[in-house]
Amino acid sequence: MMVVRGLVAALLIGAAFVRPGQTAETLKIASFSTVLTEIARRVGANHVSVAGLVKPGQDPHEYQPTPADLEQAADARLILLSGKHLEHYLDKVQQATGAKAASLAVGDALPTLKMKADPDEPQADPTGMVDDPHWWNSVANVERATMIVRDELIKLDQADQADYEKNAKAYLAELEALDHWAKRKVAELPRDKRKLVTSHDAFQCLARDYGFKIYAIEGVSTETEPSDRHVAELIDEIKNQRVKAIFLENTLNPKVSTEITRETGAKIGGSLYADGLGNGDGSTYEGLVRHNISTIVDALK
Amino acid sequence: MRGSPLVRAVLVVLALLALLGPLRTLTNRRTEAGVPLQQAGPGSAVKKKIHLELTSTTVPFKYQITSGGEPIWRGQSNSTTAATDLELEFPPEGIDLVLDASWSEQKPTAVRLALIPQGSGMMARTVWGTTSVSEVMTFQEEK
Ligand SMILES: [Zn+2]
Repeated sequence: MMVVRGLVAALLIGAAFVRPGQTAETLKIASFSTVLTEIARRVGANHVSVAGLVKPGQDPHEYQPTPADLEQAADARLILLSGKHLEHYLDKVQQATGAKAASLAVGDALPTLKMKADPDEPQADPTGMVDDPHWWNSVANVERATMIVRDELIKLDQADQADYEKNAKAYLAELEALDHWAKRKVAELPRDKRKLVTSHDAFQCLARDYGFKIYAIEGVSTETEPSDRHVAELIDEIKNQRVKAIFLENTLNPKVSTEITRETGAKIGGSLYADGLGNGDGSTYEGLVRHNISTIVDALK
Repeated sequence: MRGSPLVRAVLVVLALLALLGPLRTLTNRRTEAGVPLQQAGPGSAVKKKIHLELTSTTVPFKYQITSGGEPIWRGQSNSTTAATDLELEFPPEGIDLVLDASWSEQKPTAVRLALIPQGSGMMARTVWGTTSVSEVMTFQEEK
């Protein structure tokens, strides 16, 4: 009887660590980007266990790793980073993990757009510009990121290459269909009405992909408050351009945006997922894109 | 009762309604190359006369052109080229037209949409498909 009880206990403990469909020897991944967490889980499926350290809805500009996060990163064989200087805490991660894990800054391999830097931004170039870190707001970029993650998984676990290729192919087909849907949805909005006023400058690549002009209330980071002069200029611009709606985002206090709507008569078009996956309908990448595009198009029509 | 003005009015309306059916058929027959539906959605841009020409290397083909979320031209063509004239808002930022076309044969096919705004040069886009195509095409006049 004791033996049976012991066996049951062992099985229960085992079940707590191994999810259904997962083998005991999974590749441990720590991800500092909600979008990369989804990509790694979709491409890696049952061959990987992914610790999503930046949680959905969390502001990646303000995120700081906890000791528990660093422990998980130290335990991983692959660390996925958003890149383009988004992880300002990178030195802490490197200290915690040493040279043990391969770290992959996926965004660094993607095309770069420049944006105006905050005054105290250490990464700014002499002209005051910085790499725009928000690459995930382009479906095409997420497709490229998927291929980068796939290739890295194959490098670390060649035995499961066929599965990684098959899973990536299926996910890429979904992304392709999503981009097609987005293009059709945006086509409902005349090109002269594609003016996007948002509470931080996170949608440059969306604007490039779908023909929008951006008017951002703030610069790159959600940590800085916009200057009075910048707000006054924006108010004039919104009036001149007859912009019908402005947008908030899920990780920012909407105080300034609300003030602008009062001054201009533009309505709040809704909130957008600017900084990666959130909760609710933005909890998957497809849901995020569908939410953002529908919200923008329907409010500006 | 027979002479009542109300009954007479009802009879006139009924007669007009009966005429509407054949009239509509006549109007349709005149545009058998395709039915220009309605003008593009509201906006501040000025409307322009635009000539649209659609060419498919496989016939017959069915097509629909959508602008601003509304179908503006659709039909079926037995010849490789269908054409129509429309009035569309054409802002300096350009316009997006959504082209959907399909054919029954499974065959690699090129479908080309050409657009000539009045007083401007021709702009054209081509897309390939095996049984159908579905594409957002952007047209912008050169400054
Ligand atoms: Zn951001």
